[in-house]
Amino acid sequence: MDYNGGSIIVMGGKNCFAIASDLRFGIDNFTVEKKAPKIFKINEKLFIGMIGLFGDISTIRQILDYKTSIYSLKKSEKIKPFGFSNMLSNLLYHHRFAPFLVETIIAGLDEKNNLFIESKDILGAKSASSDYATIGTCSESLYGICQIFWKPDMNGEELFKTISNCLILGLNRNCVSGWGGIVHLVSKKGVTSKLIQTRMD
Amino acid sequence: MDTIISLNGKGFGISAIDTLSFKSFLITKNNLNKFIEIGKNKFLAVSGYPGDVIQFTDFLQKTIQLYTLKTGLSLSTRSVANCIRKELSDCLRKSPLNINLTLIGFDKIYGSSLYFIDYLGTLQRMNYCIQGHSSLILSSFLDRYYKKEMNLAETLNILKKCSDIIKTRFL
Repeated sequence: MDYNGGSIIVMGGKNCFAIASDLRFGIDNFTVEKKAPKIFKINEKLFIGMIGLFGDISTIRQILDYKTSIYSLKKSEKIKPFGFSNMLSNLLYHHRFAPFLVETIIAGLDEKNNLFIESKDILGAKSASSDYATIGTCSESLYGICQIFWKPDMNGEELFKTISNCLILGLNRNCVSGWGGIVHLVSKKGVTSKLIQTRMD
Repeated sequence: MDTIISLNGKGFGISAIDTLSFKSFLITKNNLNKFIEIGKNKFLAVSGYPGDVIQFTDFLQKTIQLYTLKTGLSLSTRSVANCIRKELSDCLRKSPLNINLTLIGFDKIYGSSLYFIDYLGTLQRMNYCIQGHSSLILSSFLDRYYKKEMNLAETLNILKKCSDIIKTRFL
């Protein structure tokens, strides 16, 4: 996980969620690019974030694009978070003995606008949470930081401030993640995306 | 390991690569051409083990030419980059190829684009990139002196300064 670097936080609020990642792409300790977000949109209310080997991230993203398109053509409806999560776990475990070296996090709102946050390890083991989840190189310290700052039932603006603060604090002490951050705020009204300034090193 | 320096200029992309071919410590050829053209508006600068390079790039060049002949459509740079990435990614877990490439292409809609492709199947679109061991030395120089939308003379100047630095500081 430390080879290419990166960190992602997901936080849940009142019928909304925010997902934030850093923008660094590096090879070991050398920074190659500073504009590489690791969050991808599946549909208006479903986002996936991935940390690990960049090649495997692209491969998984292309496979998931294909599978969700086939699903929406066959069923004439968008895929729901629970089904998408099962599909991803299946895909990851399918390569049990030559796994994709990627940790993933899924954040979505289902039809009733209830929160769905799930993080997975490289073999697809699920870990659902109702408040926040983090993956990446500074995930341990981010868990501690989020525990202090997260409050239940935050609205969009409070959630944005909290998640930005947590991301900045976490990235300050970690050299393999950083170079700016991007935050997507998703509620039933739509998606707002903002870039945040962090320590640029 | 070879060095590839690539820059995006105003409506064009430029790349410099060294022309040495070596076998452990012996230099066997010093005018080897390591650029491969794909279609009319794209080219690849490739570095890596010579056997793997020739095998992979031949396959790629001919596959894309076959696609163009079959369908009559020309592929955009982004499609070619993703095609190359997928091939490398598939090879990674079967028979890994130690090849690093930079793809530079020009499309009428997007202008010129530069893609960095790693031997692990990493794909990243960038404005300037350096591959090889001299990336550690030259990246900071390009961070300072690269500007967007440079003309040909300015980019040639930068490439000349880069080669001077390599001659001083690199084996």
